[in-house]
Amino acid sequence: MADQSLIEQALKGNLIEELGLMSLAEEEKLALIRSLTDLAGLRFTTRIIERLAPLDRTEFEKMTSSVPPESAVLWLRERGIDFEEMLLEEISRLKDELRERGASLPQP
Amino acid sequence: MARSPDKGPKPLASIGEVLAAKNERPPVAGGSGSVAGEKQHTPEDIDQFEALRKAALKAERYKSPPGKEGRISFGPKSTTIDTARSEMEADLASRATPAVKADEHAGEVNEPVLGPTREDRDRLEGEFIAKRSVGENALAQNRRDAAFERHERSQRAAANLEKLKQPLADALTEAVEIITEESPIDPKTKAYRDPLRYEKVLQEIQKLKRTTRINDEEIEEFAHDVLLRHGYDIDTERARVEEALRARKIVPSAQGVADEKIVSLDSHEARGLENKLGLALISAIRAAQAAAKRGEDPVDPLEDPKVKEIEDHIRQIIDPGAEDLEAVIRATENETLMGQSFNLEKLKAQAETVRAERDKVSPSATEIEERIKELKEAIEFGIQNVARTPFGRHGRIRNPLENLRVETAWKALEDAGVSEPGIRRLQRQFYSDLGFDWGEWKERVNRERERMNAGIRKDREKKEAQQKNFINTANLGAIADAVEQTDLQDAAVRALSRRSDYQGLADEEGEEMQRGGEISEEDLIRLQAKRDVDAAIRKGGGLPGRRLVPGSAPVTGKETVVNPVADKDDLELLREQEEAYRKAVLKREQEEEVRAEFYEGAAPESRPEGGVPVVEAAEQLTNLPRDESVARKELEDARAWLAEVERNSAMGAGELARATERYDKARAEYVAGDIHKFILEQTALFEKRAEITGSFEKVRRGWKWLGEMNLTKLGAKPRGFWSSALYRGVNVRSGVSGSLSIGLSGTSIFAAGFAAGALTPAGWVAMGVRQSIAAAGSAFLAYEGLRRRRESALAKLADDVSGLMHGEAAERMIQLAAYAEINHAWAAVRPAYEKLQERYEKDLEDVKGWLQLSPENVKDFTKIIRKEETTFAKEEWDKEKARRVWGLSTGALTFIGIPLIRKMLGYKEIAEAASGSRGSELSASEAVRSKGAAGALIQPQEAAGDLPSVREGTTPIPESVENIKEFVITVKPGEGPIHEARKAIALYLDKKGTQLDPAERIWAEEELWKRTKKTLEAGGQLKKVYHPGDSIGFKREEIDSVMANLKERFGDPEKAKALKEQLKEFTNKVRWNRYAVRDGVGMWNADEGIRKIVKVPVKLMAEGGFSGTALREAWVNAEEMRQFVLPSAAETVNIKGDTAAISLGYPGEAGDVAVSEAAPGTGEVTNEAAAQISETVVRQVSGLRQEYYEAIRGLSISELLQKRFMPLPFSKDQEWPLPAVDSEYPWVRPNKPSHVRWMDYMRFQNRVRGVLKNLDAEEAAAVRSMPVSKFIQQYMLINNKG
Repeated sequence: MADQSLIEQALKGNLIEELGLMSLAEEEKLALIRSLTDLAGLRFTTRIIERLAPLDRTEFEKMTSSVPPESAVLWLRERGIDFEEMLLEEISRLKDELRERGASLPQP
Repeated sequence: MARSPDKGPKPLASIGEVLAAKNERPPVAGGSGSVAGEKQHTPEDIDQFEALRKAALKAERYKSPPGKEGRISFGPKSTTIDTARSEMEADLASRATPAVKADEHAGEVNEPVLGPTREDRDRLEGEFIAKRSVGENALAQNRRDAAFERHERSQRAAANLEKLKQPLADALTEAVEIITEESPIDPKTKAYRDPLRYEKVLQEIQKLKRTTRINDEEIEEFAHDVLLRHGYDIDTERARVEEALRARKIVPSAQGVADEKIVSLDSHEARGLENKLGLALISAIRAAQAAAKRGEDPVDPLEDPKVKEIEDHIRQIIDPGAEDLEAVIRATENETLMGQSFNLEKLKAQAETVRAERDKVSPSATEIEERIKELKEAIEFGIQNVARTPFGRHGRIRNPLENLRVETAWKALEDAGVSEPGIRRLQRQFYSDLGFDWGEWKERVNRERERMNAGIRKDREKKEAQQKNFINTANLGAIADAVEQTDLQDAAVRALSRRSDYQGLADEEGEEMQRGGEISEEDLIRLQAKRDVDAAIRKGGGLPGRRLVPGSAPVTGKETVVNPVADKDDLELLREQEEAYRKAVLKREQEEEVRAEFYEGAAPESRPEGGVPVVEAAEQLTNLPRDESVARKELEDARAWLAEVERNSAMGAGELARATERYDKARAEYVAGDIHKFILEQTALFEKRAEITGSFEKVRRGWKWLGEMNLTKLGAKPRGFWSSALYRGVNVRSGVSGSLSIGLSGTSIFAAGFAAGALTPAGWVAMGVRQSIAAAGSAFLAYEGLRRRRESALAKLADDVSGLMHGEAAERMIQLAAYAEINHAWAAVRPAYEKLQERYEKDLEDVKGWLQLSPENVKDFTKIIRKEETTFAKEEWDKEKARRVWGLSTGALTFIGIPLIRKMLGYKEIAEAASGSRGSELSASEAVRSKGAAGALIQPQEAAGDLPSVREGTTPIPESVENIKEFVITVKPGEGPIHEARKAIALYLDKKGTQLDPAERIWAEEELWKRTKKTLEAGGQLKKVYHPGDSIGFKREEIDSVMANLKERFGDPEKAKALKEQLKEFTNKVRWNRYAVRDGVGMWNADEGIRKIVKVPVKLMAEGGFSGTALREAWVNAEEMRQFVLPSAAETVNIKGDTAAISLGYPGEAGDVAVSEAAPGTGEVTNEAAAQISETVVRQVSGLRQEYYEAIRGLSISELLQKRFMPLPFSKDQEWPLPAVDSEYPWVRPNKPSHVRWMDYMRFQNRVRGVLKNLDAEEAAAVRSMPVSKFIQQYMLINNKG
């Protein structure tokens, strides 16, 4: 169970502003966010799959092509995975990593 | 001779009157020698006369130059006043003698009195009056001179008096200072302390009285003035002090003893005195401390006279009662001393230390002399310096003392103990020694500036124009090459920050100034760097001199120049140059990158010498991506420049803003690059991690699935109208994006606030807000509607070509071409264009008649067309922009309007459909669009073309065919050697004045080329492929021979008929009007070449049977088409019924079709070429540009159908691939795809759906795995409706 206050703190803040990327063209910002979104999603999904038992993994794979994604929330909750919480945690972790990375780069 | 009494001043009495008045003896009646009333000369007359004479003498001295005519001479030989005087004296003597004699002979018979006769008297009187007149004038002059002398004397006296008054003024100043500093009350008399009674003042007054005639009143007036100048009004001060004394009830004593009232110790007066004592003591303490710091022995504050005085005063007026007054005084003083932490012994020790230190470093007399000498040299340097550069910033006149060297020398003298006035005296002395007067210099420079400024503005404007022109036209590459790259930008930066005063200096002067401390070593380096850059600029483009050098203004014996040009423009100029330098640097860097990339793979020996450093640099950066190294370099440069701008405030806020912006951008790009690298690393990492539990593909698919989860279905509760509109279209993936880019206000992802963020509304559109999709769709529909209306209007241009005026056909062709080129809509405009082209060709057939143009002017005509083309293109751009603006406006209205309508009408179904319901291939909005734009989706598959363009030919115009040795023909696009032979024969026949039948010409050109080919082959000049621009020479003798041979073989009518019949197929395919010759000019000069319209059965292509043989057959049978536009890579296809018409060129042409056949018999048509043509036709049927078609041709049909209307990030599989196409839509955003391409994709997708609908379910399911290219070939070629 992640610390809610830490998650909240990590989620706050505009990453584009924090990293000094406001000068980028709109398309470039968009592309960056898309890539980061995909990365967050991949990390999130990997964690879900890792936490699932082997049989559940197979079922999860089948679900991706047979049922609407909304049904996954309940299904995951039954297996002790809080979809929303895990997703938020992953987002906040990614943002933190990016902040740290940005801090090590040249500053104005 | 008498004067009128009422005119002018009263005249002097005449001699006669004077004599008569003075003569006591009555005139002798009837005497011959005497006349009644006649006046005699008296001694007063003589005196008066003498005065006149002196005046005249003075007048002579002042006014009459010697030897001039009309002068009054007082020389010994002159008969002037002296003579007259002696005559009068003699006359008096002669008169006196008879009188005496008469007295002596009284009583005797009246003897006649002898005297001057009337004539004598009249003569003498006349002479005297003449002399007197001269004397009067001289007297008046004398008076004027005297007045002048008096004035001068008074002036001198006044000046002298002022000088004499100065000591008094000084004494008064001193008195005021003392009174102000100490007390306005005399401590002895306890009365007002009158500065006029100050001892020194009194002494000076006495002295002044002794040396001048100044009286007391004048002295008093002068003293008051002096005191007022110091702000001291003696009357006011006296009244104020006396009032104060009265208030304190202290009555001044005439004896100097205060008759003061005794006050008690606790009275108000006593407390005042106590405070006064404390203040005086503090003042004394400060003085002691200051003295100690100076190394002087501090005086005990208790011994300070002021303190003593107050103590005495206290003792006099305070009645202590039972208290010990002395103890009270001591207590007050001790309290103050302790409060100030005063320690006399410490101060004395401090003074001792200071003295000891000073003794250590105190310069000797020799050293002081050295420092004085240094000051003198520094001042001389300063004078020479300001003489060389008189103006500082903002046109201020520079002071010789305002330079580092003088300031240092000045300070050194001060440190040596020389007082400020002493140094001032030295400075004045040095000025005098060097012949320099500061005031005079300033006046002189100002005069010079005014004189020069009058003519300088015009010159400056001219110079600025030259500068601007230079910057606009400078060869930046040459500049960059001329200047060392590493120093270039640095030099520009330094040049910007250096003082512009130095730019006129030579190196030696700059170094001298640096030695003198006038400029720093750093400035000197900057100066030299700037000069190097200037030299480089001159080398690269010829920079004119920036400075005017006006007339010289020598000072201190050195020839120097005055440059009154203000410096205010220097910064702007340098900034412009800096921009040029920066561009040069960027250009050079780009070139080096290209070179580095080019030579990276090349062998070392193939690298140029200059490229070695570049390669080395590239090797150093091999561990970094190319983009990152460039971004890092730019970031470093931007940072350095920003630091320089921040350091140098003179560059101004504008430059700072630009530098900051540049740095921000560079840093953002660098950071973004780093994040991308991070993403790649992380993706690779998780890919490996995923392999442990399964496969990465499963993870990817899982995220794709989860990411599409709708937030509202997940439990999000939208609040408010706008929120609901937004939430309806937001899925998990969009939520993640939002949380990354704008942050979340709470712990729930569903609480995302969309009010503000890093993206613009356009960004949010792309983030997946379905509401915006509808708006965008409306925008596109509006845009498409306008576009089709325009196409319809353009198509009407070809409605009635027969009624066109000459030139109109060409004009309309250009209009169509401009629209087609801008909108990539050749397919739509091709029918109209071809119709107009036909008319234009017809016009060209009758060049001389109908168009009223001579063949020579065809070239001019084409030039005009070229100009019009530009104009039409511009107009078409404007219209295109207007269409887009209108489309966007419609979209914006839709964005706002649709949800409002939904809200009001509760039109749930439409809203849900518009938000994109799952399971449906088409969203509602897309369905509506596809229905509304059904017409648009059916593209007229017309042959596309290119911009109309006509180019001048190079065919020679011979005078006589006999004189022609050779016809040299230039190859045009689409032509082969046969075409050139045809042209040569056309020119030959024109010169000969004969004609041939088309069949004979066909035979002749074949024969001519056959022979010429052999000749070229024998000479090693035959080319395998002839490219546009190549030339082929056809010998006139060879043509003669061919013609003779033709006549010999086909001269018989039967044979000629047979030939005609045999070659009929070929003669009909040649556009003979193109090969007509008018006045020696071939009409092929009016076009850009030819292409062949190759017709291929569609069925053959669809079944895959279009081979090289089929292409060859089609090629042979193809007819030619003239090209009035320059062929581009875009091919043309027109499918009508079962036949596809393909416009093909030849190898070497700018076309994309590889037909290695220049003409029948010149090469092989391969199966590969046929396959390429098939693929080209398939692509044309798709309606997509090559780059976009290539991006989807390998997709399966099912993958194609997953693509969505806009590239919204629902998933990667739903995004249309959008390749970057160079310069496709530069007006939108360079190298970025545009919505036009999305629309093309969507049209194609809908066409595919349309085909699938007509298939049975089994076949439709089977073809879903078929590649797009194969699907088009099998199902769309034949069904394509052109």
